[in-house]
Parts: sequence; C-alpha cells; structure tokens
Amino acid sequence: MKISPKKAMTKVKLVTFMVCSQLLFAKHVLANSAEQATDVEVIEVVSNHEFASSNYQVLRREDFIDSSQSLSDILGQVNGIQIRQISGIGNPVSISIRGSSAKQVQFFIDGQLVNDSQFGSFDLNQIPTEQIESIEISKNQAIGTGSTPIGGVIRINTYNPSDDTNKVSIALGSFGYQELNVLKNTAFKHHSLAFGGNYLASDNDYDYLVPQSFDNPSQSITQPLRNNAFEKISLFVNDSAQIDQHQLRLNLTYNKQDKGLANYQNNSPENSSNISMDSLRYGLQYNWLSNIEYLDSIELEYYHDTKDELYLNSQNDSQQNTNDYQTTKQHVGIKPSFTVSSLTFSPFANATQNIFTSFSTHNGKPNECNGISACDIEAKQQQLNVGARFSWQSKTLPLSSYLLANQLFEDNSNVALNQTSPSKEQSKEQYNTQELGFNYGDNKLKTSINWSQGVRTPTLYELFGDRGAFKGNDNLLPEEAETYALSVKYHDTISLMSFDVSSSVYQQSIENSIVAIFNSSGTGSYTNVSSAELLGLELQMGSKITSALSVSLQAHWIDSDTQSEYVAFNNKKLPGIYHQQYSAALSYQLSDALAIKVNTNIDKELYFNRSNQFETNDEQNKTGNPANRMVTDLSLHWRIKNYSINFTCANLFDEHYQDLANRPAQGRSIQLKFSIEDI
Amino acid sequence: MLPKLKNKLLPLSLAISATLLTACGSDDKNTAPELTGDLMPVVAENTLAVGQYTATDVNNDNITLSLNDAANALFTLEQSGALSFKVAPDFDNGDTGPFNVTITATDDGKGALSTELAISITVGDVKDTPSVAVVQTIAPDYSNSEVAYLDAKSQQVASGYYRKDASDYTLSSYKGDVFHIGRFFIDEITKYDAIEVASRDSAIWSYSTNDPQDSTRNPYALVSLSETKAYLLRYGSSKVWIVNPQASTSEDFKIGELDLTSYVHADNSNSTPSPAAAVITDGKLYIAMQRQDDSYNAGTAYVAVFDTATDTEIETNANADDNVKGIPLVGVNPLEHSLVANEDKVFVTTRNGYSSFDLSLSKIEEINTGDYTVRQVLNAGDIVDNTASFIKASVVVSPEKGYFYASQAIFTPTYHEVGSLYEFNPTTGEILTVNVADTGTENISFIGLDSANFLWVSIANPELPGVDVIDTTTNTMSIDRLITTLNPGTIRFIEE
Repeated sequence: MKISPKKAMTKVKLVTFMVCSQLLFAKHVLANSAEQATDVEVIEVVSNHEFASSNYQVLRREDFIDSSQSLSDILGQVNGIQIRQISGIGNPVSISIRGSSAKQVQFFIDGQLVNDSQFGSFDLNQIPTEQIESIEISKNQAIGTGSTPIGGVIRINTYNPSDDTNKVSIALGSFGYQELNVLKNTAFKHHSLAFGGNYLASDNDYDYLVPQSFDNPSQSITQPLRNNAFEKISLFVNDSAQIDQHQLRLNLTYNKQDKGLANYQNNSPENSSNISMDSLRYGLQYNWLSNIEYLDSIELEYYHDTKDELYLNSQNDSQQNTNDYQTTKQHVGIKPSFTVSSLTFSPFANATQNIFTSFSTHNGKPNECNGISACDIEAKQQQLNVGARFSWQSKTLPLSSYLLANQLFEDNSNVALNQTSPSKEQSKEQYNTQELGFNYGDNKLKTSINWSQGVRTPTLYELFGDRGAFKGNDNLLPEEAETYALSVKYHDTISLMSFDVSSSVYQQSIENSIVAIFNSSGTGSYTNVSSAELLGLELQMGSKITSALSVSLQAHWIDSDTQSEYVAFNNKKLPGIYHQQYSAALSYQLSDALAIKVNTNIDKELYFNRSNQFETNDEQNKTGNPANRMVTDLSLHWRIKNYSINFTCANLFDEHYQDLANRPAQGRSIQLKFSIEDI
Repeated sequence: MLPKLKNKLLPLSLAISATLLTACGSDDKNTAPELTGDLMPVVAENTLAVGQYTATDVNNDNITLSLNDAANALFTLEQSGALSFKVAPDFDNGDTGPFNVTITATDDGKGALSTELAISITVGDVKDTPSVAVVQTIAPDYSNSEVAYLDAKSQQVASGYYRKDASDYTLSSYKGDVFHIGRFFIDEITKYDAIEVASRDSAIWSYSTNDPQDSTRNPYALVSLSETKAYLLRYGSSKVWIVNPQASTSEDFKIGELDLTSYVHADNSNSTPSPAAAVITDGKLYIAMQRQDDSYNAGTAYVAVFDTATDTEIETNANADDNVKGIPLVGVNPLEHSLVANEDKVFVTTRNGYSSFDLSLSKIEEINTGDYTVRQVLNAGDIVDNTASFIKASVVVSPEKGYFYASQAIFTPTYHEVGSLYEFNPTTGEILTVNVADTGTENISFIGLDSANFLWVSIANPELPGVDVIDTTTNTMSIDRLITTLNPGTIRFIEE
C-alpha cells in the first residue's frame, strides 16, 4: 500500500516519540538509583564514522581547543576549504569547499541539518568551540547517509566527554572582545551529563575608511566603526547514557544574540539598525545495539529547532522598519545497520519539516502586500530522504568500497499572509543522488577514488521570492554536480621524523547555477543561468621533524570556467573563491610549557563578481586585477598543569585586503585566552 | 606727286571709315552681357541647389551660360541660370569646399562678347549622423556596472569605463561633459570630459550628493541649464540641489536648493515626493514626482515648474482645488526619463502603479507650457490587443512624430520583461507603427533621441545586450546592434 510522504512522516514521528518517551522515563528511574561516579562505562553514542576516504577528515577537540579560534578560523586552515567573512565578530561567514558556494555545503550539528530552508544559509560560528567534541569534514560527499551535497559536509559533534571535566576560560581581545566559557561534565555510571555556557561580546569598532563621513560627506576619513557591536549567550546541556544495549543522547542548545548593523557609507551615529536572534534546539538520538545476527544496530533520531530573528532597519529616529522571521524545524529519522560477512548495509529514512514565517512593519504599520513590498509569508518545506548505504571491506586485501544512494522527496509551499486574497504557491519535486568510492591501501599508502552526483535544491526564497518585487520561479531547476576525485595519502617515518603527504585531484561539472537576475525595472527572480567546470588539485605535507618542531605545507589550485548564454557570465571564472591558495604553518615547542605557532596563508585570484570585472583607480591598469591577500597569524600557547594561556595575533602584519562584502577587512587583532581545567 | 596723293588719300579713308563706323555704332555696336548672383554661396550638405544666376544683355542678344571645364565635373548649370551640384555633397565625408566655379555668359551678338563671374561655393554641415553616445551598463545580477562609449559612425563600442563593484549608477551629460551618478547608498557624482578620448578616464571632480548629517538621498539625475548651473534631482529627498558643475571644490558645488516639501505624500515618512524626472525648456524647470507612500503606492502625480532665472516655483493654477502650485496629472507614477520637451510642449509619460493592472492610467500627457493645461495624448489601453504592457518612456521628434515603448512582465520560463517600440503622433495621439524596427521580443530599458533625430534603444537582453540605433525617417536600424557586455540602460549624447 502506498503511503504518502506526509503520512509516513507522521507515523514515524509518532512511533519515535512513544519509544523515546518510554526510554526517558526509564532513564529517569535509573538516574535516581545509587551510582558511582568512578565506575564509568565508555559512552560512544554517535557512530564513529570511519569512511576511509581522502575526501573525509576529522578534527578532534584537542587539535583546536587550546587556541583562541572560532569554528570558521579552524575550518579555514583545512586544505580545500575557504572561509571569507564580513569583518567583525557576529557577521556572516561564507564557506566554500573545493570551489563551492556556501549554499552548496551542508552544515550538521549532531546529525541535524542546520541549513535554513528559506534562505539556504547557516551561521558557521553559532557553536562556541568549547562546546565541540569533534569536527567532521567531507568534501563533495555526504557523511554517512543522506543526500549527496555538491560542496560537501561540515558536521559538528557536540561536547561528549567520558570523564569528569570542569573548565572555565576567559578571553579578551582587540575591539572590545570578551569571552567567558564555563563547562562542566559529570560522568556517572550509566550516563554523562555536560552543561555549559558561553558569553561572547565584541564592540567591532575597528578603524574603517568611511567613504562619506557623517559630518562632512565630502571627506573620506578613517574612524572607529559605529553600531557594529555583537553580544551572544549560548547555553547547552548534553546528556549521554548507555544502559546495556541502549545508547541515548540528548542535546539541548539555546542561543541568544544581538548584532548591530553598521552604516558603512557614512558611519552615522544615528543609525541603530540591529538584528537579534533567539534559538532553541534540542535533539534526541537513540541507538539500540542489537545482538540479533546480521543486525548491528538501529538508530533513531529526533530534532526540534526554533529560531526567531528580528531585523530592525533604523538609519535615524524617523525610520523604524522591522522584519520578524520565525523558523521552526522538526526532523525524525531511522537507520538500521546490517552486516553480512564483509558487507554492511544501512538503509535509512528521515523526514524534515521546516516552517518559515515573516512579518514586517514600517514605522509600526504592517507592510502592504501590493506586489512591490515584500509580503508577510508562511513558507513550508517537507522533505523525505530514503536511501541506503552499502559498505564493503575485503578480508584479504586492504580494499574497501561504498555506495550511497538517496532519493529526496520535497514538497514546498508559500502563502502570502497579508494578501487580500491569499494565494498559495506550491511545488513538489524529487531528486536522487549517488556516491561511489573505492579505497585501497594501508596506513602507509592509501589511494582513494570517488564519484558523486550531488544536488543543491532551490531554497524556498529562490522558488517563491518575497511575493513582492522579487518574483518566484516555478521552473527553477536544482543545481546539480558530478564530481570525480582521486587522492593519494602517504605516511612514513624516517629516523624519528614522521611525515604525511597527500594529494587530491578532482574534477567537477556543475549545472543550473542559481543566480538572482534583475530586470531594468528593478524586479528580479532567481534563474538558472550557467554551468561550470572545475578542475582542482590539493597538495599537503605535514612533518614532525623533531619532537619539538612540526611543519605543514598546503597548496590548492582551482581552474574554473563558467558557460552561460548570458554574455556577461560566459567564459568567466567562478566568483567568490580564491583560485590559488598556499599556506605554511610552523609549530615549535619552545619548552615543556610553551609552544609557538606561525602560519602564513597566501590566497590569490579572487573574482568578486560573475562578470569578473574590477573596480580600480589604477590609471595604468583600467581592467584591474583579481584580488590577492597574504595573511600571517601568530599564536603562543603556555600550559602548566591545569592552567593554560593562549595569545593569538591574527593578521600579524596588518595586511589590507577586501572582506566578503568587498570592504576593507578589519586588520590586525589580538586575543588573550586564559583557561583553567579541573577546578 | 604720289606721296602727296597718299597723304591726301589717308585722311580721306579715315574720314570715310569714321563715317561708316559712326553709321554702324548707333545701330550695330555690341555690348557684353552682365552676370549677377551670389559670389560666395553656402550650401547645406545633402542638397543639390547652389543658387540662381542671372545674365542680361543690353543688346538683347541671346546669352549662353557655361561653366569652366573643372566645374563641369561637379556642377550643372541650367541655361535658366540655376546652378546645382551633380551629386549632393556630404559634409561628414569631407565635401566641404570651397569649390571655385567660373560662370561665363556669352552673347550671340557681333563679336560674341562674354562676361565671367567667379564664385566660391562652400558646404555647410547639417546634423545627419548619429552622435557619440555614452551608455550605463549593469550586470544582470546587479553585482557590478560599467560605462561604454558608442560611436555609431564607426560602429565602435569602447567599454571598461567607470567600472564599479555596485550597480546603482546612471549618467547625465551636458555638451561634452559626462556625469556619472552613484545612487542609493552611494550618493556621489563624478564629472568626466568626454570629448577628448584620452581624457575620458580621468575624473575632473567627484562630490558627495548628501548634506552633512544626512542619510542616503539617492540622486537620480543632473539636469543642466548651462555650464555653470544645473539641478540635481534626488529621489529620496524633497530638496533639489542647485549646483555649479564648474566648481573646483565641494564647498562651491552646491549653490542652492529647490523645495518640493509641499508635494510629499501624507503617508510618506521619508519626507520625499519621489521626484523621478526633470527637463528644462524655455527657461523653466519641470519636475515630475511620483508621490509614493511608505508602501510604494504612487499617489496623484504632479509636475512642479520653476523659473530657472529666479529659482522660484511658478504658480501654474492648474488646479484650483489643491494647495500646491504644480500641475496634477491624470496618469500615475511617472518614471525616470518620463519628461521630454518639444517646441512649446512638455510630454509626461506615466507607468501607473507597479501593482496595478489598469492600463488607462499609463499615459502620455502633454503640458502646454503657455498656460500649463494638460491633455491626454494617448494611454496604454489605446494599443491594439494590449492587455498587460505599460508605457515606460517616450521621445518626441516633431509635433507629428514621436516614439514610446511599453513593457510587460512574462513569467515563463522565468520572470522577464519584453518591450515594444511604437511610433505615434503627439498631436493627434494616433499610434502609427507598432513594433518599430522589429522590437517586441526583448527587454527595452531606455530610449533616447540624439540631435540628428536618431533613436537609440537600449536592449537589456542578457543573451544579446546592446544598443540599436534607429533612423526615424525610415524606422529601420541604421547600423547593426552595438554590442555591450552588460545590460545597457541610460544613454546620453556627447554634443560638442
């Protein structure tokens, strides 16, 4: 009997909820019984994803926790990943994996897809690094199960220790930067409870060359940027339990943040524009470890996420425009895992519902829905992923392979709430994605070859517009990409010097790039305008030369070419990414307690727009050049017993370059972080 | 004895001869003809007639007119005295003269006497070739923009000028000066010299269009009265700046203001009547205002009139019931480029509100500059079989000939706009020609008339962007499309 996706999702939700309810009750009873904190079972609820692919890597907590870095800083050091951001803490950050756009990257937190269904975006820095246990990175492929993305996947696994931990850290830095972290984990016999909080604030008042100063528009003067402050509170609770065959993990995160929006044109002191956000996310993962032949486990998961964003546009007292965006997301999934001989089979199904509503006012009055102003809308997206992953490991050879296939069913709708006769627009689509990979080798030399066919489905905004001057597009096709990747990893030790060398070459064909196109009257819509070919090469080498000295070298080249019937976009380079990246990092243990690290990144050949045209004042070179930058960061880390101090100087030589918004980046900044563990 | 006779004979022969001659002179003496006419005519190029030359003869002899041999190759001389070119001279091709011609008038009297008249002919220039133009072009994704110079004579497009990492830019011009205007949240105007190719790259000056402690006012256009006085229209402000384009410092740039506060819509909290277009004719500045409310609904459109000598608003008495001085229109929502002047008329084009489907309020209206009365010329509903196209802009060549374009939104396969160009009679309102020069399948973003009455049309088709130049005498394209890289918009003309 054929069941509609909607009914199927409802049923799954109901069953999951009932099962989880019973388990929570049982957990509560057990937690109240006498437990010995010292007798701790090892808890590993979240699967350890060993995909043995050179497109995949894991960063462990110990790799980054002692630094003063944000998540975007950490990811920016991974070869093949580019991070560009609008200067200032709290501003949007764009991530690109192997030349992808930010929307083509999937961002997961504990298995929950965070990407916004309305705009496709995600806040990369929403999780403080103190709350992160590990970071999984997959390029051009999914992690485990689900639909294959075009760019890849960043998956954050939140804090999940097995020992008692107490930690406090304080950081101060340039431009009014302040951070306080509190973290506690208590390990009981059957479960581990971690909770913590993070407070982060920054004035972001770096010096900025204002094109037309407020008091004298004829003058461009350098001033501290006004109304650019950021403040954030983040609280979390994680509870992991294992009782016999049952593994249960609960995570709960609450974020509240406020960000001032500067007027970059004249740095007006009257400007009080601001965006504030409240979000609450909780998730439940249950893993049943089977003792039935062939059946390894069954994993159930449920997530719920609500977010409320309020955007205030107020350049002066007479103007108060607000946009209130509310997003609710629910997700439920099931994944059993079977092993027969050397073959592992993991079918899966998961369902997600996103609801986005908007409400806008102008000086206290609701906006009119008149075909010009953006309407108040309710947009809904329901997705059902059904697929399977097959993994095979040879018993005689160091050879493994996998196949992942996924079918995505999507039902989207949009209603203009404040239209005189509200009309509903709807679209239903299906997409399928596949991946195939082979790995051969041992710990010394490993070769991987991978093929993937990924998709980036249009967001609700791309499909339906704002029901005002920005129109929808019923015929919008998803972005699709076919990717081939070949990689080689070599590890060896000579004398006492160990080194790793790896290289990856990849080729990607992308179709149906979705771009906002505008007419001469100023109305616009998203349109499939171009295709692109990418050819990339990643090289990296890391070596522990002595017990104290480590060196890491990386290089990444991308050759891109877009084809389009639009003259302006034809035979051009992809915008928004550096086509050449080089980095060198040196770590030296000065003493048992003190270590120094210097890394330099050289990024070249950035095109700001699809037409590859440059604004320049160079009279000798009217056409301008792609943008380059060279940034050097320095960090010092001192650790004795439970105390550590970390000093970071980012952009040590105060290099001037353009940020994500094509404005001068903020320049050199310093940060000092003091941590105490096991208080 | 013979010499004596000889001496006696000679005087006798002389006497006889003199007698005979005297008898002839009173009845037989011939006089050369007289020849008159313009000695230094100036002939307009592309015409044949040089002038009329008159030969008279006091003896009433028949006169034959002729040209010198060299002149015969180029000129024809009728026996009536009409002198003309054999082939009309083209000033732009170098046929400028002077041409030296000798006309000879010969009579048929005794001795066939003749008279010569030397004349020197020069050719005068008539503006009959398209001007050099400058066009603002914008990327289809609104990420960047640039300006291109267009030479229709040589069919050359020189692009790459004034490249910006933003798209909200437009152009104004006055004679050989080009003004590059950055609009919303750019608020900047930059002047360039467009006559000398080598100096087109170098900005003469660049000034802010904001007052101190003010937010963006979105400058729309600069309308020049003279080299030293112009009016800067700011869409986001009720104050029109009076500026001096020759100012060498920013302090000297703004020299005054015009106040449009009385036209602000009651529900517009930004305090702007949304002035969108302006034109100067006969010493008066006409400003068209959309008068939008906070939800971008256009109110009753008005045209305010200012005396450019005193910069005071003129009471037009166009409506006895309102409390403003300007002229109310029936059409709604005059867009950018909606005002043109021709002879003693100002023509206003209105689109109607963006969310409206009523074609009747998308009009071309005519303002009589003598008494400020308004009459409808035509509306979008007059276009046969039109259900969804709204008039965007118009130009007027003469009281009998004008052009407008109307655009409609198409939603398949993706949202885009398609425009059609129409010829109309500004006096009668009759639509004479539809889909002029095979328009009707692409997006039109601008139309403009140069001083030679060529019609320039910006085709914002991202697959084949460019500017078409149409000969208004034939309604056909005079050259192939001038291809640009980005979508073309506003065109301005460089006139020396």
